[in-house]
Amino acid sequence: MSMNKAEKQVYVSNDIGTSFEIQVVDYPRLKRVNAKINPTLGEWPLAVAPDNVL
Amino acid sequence: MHFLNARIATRSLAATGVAALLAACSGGTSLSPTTNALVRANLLAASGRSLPPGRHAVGGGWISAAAKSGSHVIYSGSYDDSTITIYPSKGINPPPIGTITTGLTDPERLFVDKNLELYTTDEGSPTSIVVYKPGKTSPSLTITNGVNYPTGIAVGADGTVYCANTGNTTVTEYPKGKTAPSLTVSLGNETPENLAVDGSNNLYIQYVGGSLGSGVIEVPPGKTSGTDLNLVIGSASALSVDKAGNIVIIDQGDSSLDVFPAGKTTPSKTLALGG
Repeated sequence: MSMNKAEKQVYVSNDIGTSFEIQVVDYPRLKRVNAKINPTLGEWPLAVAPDNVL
Repeated sequence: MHFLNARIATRSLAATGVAALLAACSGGTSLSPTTNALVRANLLAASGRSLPPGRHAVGGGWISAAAKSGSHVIYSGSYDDSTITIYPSKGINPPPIGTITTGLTDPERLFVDKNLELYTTDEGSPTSIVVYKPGKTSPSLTITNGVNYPTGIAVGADGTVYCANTGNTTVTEYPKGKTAPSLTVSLGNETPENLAVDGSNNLYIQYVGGSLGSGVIEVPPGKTSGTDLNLVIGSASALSVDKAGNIVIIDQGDSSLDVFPAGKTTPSKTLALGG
């Protein structure tokens, strides 16, 4: 999980069964926007880190 | 510990699948994930057919002009494939704009600091912290001193690097650019998994094990021990801390994202993530 610098979005790497997807959540409203990236089966996206995390 | 074992077992199965696929594709000769990644990158670079204009192989990876600045990108690590893939931060399911393979064996967690430098923990041999400057595919720094089967990593605003070591249940701290730890936080029965640092350099350690099963410990700057925040949560996982001191944490128990206001032990907001 990574929060961007503006603290408007949280990126989450989520196990969806057969693969992982990277989801984006509006923060602090906590509204899930979209599945951002759905990697190929077999990938293991353990974390995501958008720029300007701090 | 059960969580860790389950995770390792899953990884082993996935790695077996990758090895079997490689064996089938190479006439029975099984390549390591690292070798495969290097071979694939070199073949792509040699043929030029699969690399869009502007992409070129660099040190076993490739990177496009769009990823050179290290800005507005998302990094996704693959433990089994020994790679970090770079995606643009805009668009839905965008194609990759780069990959990093050099210096990686079993990449774990990732962190990008305010200078857009990428930090990853790696559980290969030797276990290490590997640092990449923005737009580069070869490491600028590798830290092994004090690193023991690391998972979570975080970098403070002053450049201090924090590393969670599952092998000896410690968190080691490294001054910016240094390869020897300046401070070690020992947890004992709790295994550190994920880390976060706030603007005042307070360290937040998400752990598994101990009497609570999982939770978060806050450690003031310069200290070697901290206070358990006693957060009411099923199975704590990744975490972050915002400028107001709210702790944002993933609860693997019910696949939710929870927000704990500073000083509170119950979440003020929860979002079901699915999965």
